Amino acid sequence: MSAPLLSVQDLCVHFDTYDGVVKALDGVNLEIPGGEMFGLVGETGCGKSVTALSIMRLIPENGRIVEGKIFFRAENLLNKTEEEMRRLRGRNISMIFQDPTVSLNPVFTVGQQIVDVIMIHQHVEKEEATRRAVEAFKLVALADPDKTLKLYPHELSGGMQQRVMIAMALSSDPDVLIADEPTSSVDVTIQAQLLKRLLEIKSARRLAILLITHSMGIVAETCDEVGVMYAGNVVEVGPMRDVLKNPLHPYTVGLLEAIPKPQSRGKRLPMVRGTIPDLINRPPGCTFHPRCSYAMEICGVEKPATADIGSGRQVACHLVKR
Amino acid sequence: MIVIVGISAITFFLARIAPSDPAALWVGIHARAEQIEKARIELGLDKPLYVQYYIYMRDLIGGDWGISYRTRRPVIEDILSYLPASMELAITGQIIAITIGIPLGVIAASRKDTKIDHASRVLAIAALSIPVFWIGILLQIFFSRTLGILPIEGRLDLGVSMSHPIQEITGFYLIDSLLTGNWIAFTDSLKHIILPAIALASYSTGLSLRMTRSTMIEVLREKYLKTARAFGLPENKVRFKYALKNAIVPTLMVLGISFSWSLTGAFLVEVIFNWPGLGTYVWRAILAVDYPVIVGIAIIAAFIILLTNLILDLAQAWIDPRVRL
Amino acid sequence: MPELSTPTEGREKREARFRETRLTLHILTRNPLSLASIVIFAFLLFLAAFAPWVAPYPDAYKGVPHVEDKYMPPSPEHIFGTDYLGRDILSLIIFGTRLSLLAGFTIVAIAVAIGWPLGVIAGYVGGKVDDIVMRVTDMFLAFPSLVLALVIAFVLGPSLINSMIAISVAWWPWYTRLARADAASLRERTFVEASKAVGLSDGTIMRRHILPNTMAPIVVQATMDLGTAILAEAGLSFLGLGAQPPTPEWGLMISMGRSVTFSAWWYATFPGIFIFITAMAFNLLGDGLREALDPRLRRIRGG
Repeated sequence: MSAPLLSVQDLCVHFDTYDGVVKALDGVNLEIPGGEMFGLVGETGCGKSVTALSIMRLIPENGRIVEGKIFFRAENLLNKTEEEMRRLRGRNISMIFQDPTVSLNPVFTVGQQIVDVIMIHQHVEKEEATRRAVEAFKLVALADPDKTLKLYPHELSGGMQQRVMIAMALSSDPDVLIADEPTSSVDVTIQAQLLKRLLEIKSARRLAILLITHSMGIVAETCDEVGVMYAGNVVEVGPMRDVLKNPLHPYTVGLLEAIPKPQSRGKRLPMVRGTIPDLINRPPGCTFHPRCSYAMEICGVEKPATADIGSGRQVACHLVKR
Repeated sequence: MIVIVGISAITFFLARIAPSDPAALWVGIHARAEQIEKARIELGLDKPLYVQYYIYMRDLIGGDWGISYRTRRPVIEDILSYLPASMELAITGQIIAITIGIPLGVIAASRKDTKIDHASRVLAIAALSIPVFWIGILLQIFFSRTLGILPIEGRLDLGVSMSHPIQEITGFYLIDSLLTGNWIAFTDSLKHIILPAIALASYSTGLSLRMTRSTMIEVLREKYLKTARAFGLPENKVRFKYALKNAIVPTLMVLGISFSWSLTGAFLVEVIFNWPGLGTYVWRAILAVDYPVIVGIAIIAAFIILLTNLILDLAQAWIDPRVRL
Repeated sequence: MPELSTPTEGREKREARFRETRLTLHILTRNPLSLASIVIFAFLLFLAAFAPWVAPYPDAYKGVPHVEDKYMPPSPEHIFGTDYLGRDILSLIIFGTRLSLLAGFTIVAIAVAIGWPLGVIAGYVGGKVDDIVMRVTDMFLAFPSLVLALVIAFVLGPSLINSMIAISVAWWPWYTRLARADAASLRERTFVEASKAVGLSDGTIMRRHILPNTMAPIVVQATMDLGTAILAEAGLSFLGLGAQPPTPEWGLMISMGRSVTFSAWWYATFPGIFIFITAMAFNLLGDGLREALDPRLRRIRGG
């Protein structure tokens, strides 16, 4: 297997708040090869967005990356200067966000915004940049690209706004696209269209996509690999099919069981009991153990290490022996 | 006496609702498109601005405004003759205020919670707490009495106005003397205007500083700036192009409020510095119980403010594409 | 969060509010500036309350002239000098504290008492009532408030009380506008529908639910306005439309001091310093309160 394009190792991120230090990420490990769609799934607040922002080095001011390494093409991003990171952002690694209505600047046309990005990264003149902007809009299947360039964000529908964001992100042909809940703000039909388009682009360009979502359903339909996150840790990783058919971590089991299926009609929907833990005072041992139906004594004492059990699967659980 | 008071009070309020004052409805911040359209047509506001002004002037001359008890001249004449002086002072004061206030506000917002930020906040609040009339007197004591370098009052030295009279083009001494190359008069006017302008500017500076700062903080928090950074746009472009344009609109609103306060302060400042403007004129009218003048001034003041707000609203609509006129 | 209260929720709500208030106070006192302003405010209150015992020349208040001492410059016996009647200026200033604090609070209290309920009614009831109220409000707001207050004070006749009334009358529209905007948006919330469905009358809804929920911005604005109120009142007195001689009102003293600016500079200077300090204390307090109540700022502590 070739070296992964993007690799996160033992990432720990803390936030300073009035109530104390929130340990949002407590040792996150991820690997994404080129040309693959990796789904990072988990509850709200589990740290998925923080992970993405850390890769881009865009975490808010009160956050600190305490430990860990983030490798992009064999270079540790955490060692780079701000200027070097800036040149990477939007050019080699792009990120799109959840709600396009607040992510686009309301006082400029979408054309102006995408042209700005193209001019900065590709060092071309405005005319050429405009031409490339039109190409980018065609790529995301925006109707009438020339006209659309002159519109303001509030004049576009949510789906169109998101396409503009994707176009901006892909305009400089990056190697990695991080998509943070890209479809949560649009309705289901648009969601399906956007995801389909993303998959097509992924194949055509060998683009690596890190898809962040809370919906197991979306991940199941679109991703090659899946990583399950809980309270700042990646608890299970593996190829999509395998994890679906044979989930190993109790949390993954719980998530999958909670998806409504036709067979479960009339029966109560199983839930993972309990709520997410206090991230300021993390429970000792395995973070999930207070909610785990299979918890053993050792689970409350020692934090399980991520074990590689072959064929691309990893789990962090005491139940699973190598 | 009571009868006259009652009539003047009623006239005062009636004049406020006079047909020539519909801009109040127009400029109302919560006004909706259909309301505005209706008001415009009903009140003939769809005519070009100079035509409206003409109608207004016609009403003035038509006798609504009466003769000043004190000066025995038509009130409009008096008002017009004193207006430029007041405008010059008010505008100069505003320019000083925004030259200091806005850049400081931007810097304070960018360096939020640092020493610079705290210092500017204190400065802004101090500026807002200084009684305008008091600082005027202090400035007089310090610069005129103690240091003797600046004149105490007035707009132009009597000697200078006789030896180097200023040709009246705009009525603004500073501009007119510059235009005609009258350097002596220019420096003299400058010396005269600087103290009252500073006194006037104090409150507005505090206001602009504080509001620019909070506007910039709001804007800098916005998600679209995060997006811009995520796409690798350089920081100063993010701040100055993307953030600033969004900040301009609320800032303009600030300017409107600030200007309104300026007129208030101008009143006090004119009295202290014996500045021959509307403030002094009204003051004397009040002392002499000169009702037509008071009513006239009230309407003029309201008119000026509404006009300013109108201009600012137009500017806002031009900059922010989401605003519908 | 606006909610209907049931008996058990009532206690929880009270506890939550208690915690919120504690947090607000905590943030307020952490900021050295607002802490300083609280101290200054307490000091001023002290001066006002205990004036006859603190002032070195208590009979200055009664206007007893020592004409032989008039216009004396600052000295160990008269730290701030004397005025035209020979009264000790420091004592006058201390007594003046009462007037200024009283004026400030009264003006804001009246303006809020008129403006806030009116705004809530306008915002909640909507329709014609709203239109009329907003037209009136717009008229007032289009005008520089001090000039308006000036004219009103003039019409009423110069006196301290009249000037206070005049300023309140010029100011209530600000609170109306503030309250109305809030009330109008609250009206659309589901809990209002629910209240109506349960049979509560409009008046009760307004009183019990809408009014309290519009309180926050009003309180912040009112605190910030305290300082401005004192400045406005001093301004009117300076112009002769407020307190009349020989009342020891700070603005009035500056005005009297103005005629002798160059020979007796202390007369106009010291009262002004006190106006400045008082206004500044209130403004700092208001500013600190505003920052403390800002929900977003409460989560994050600066690095």
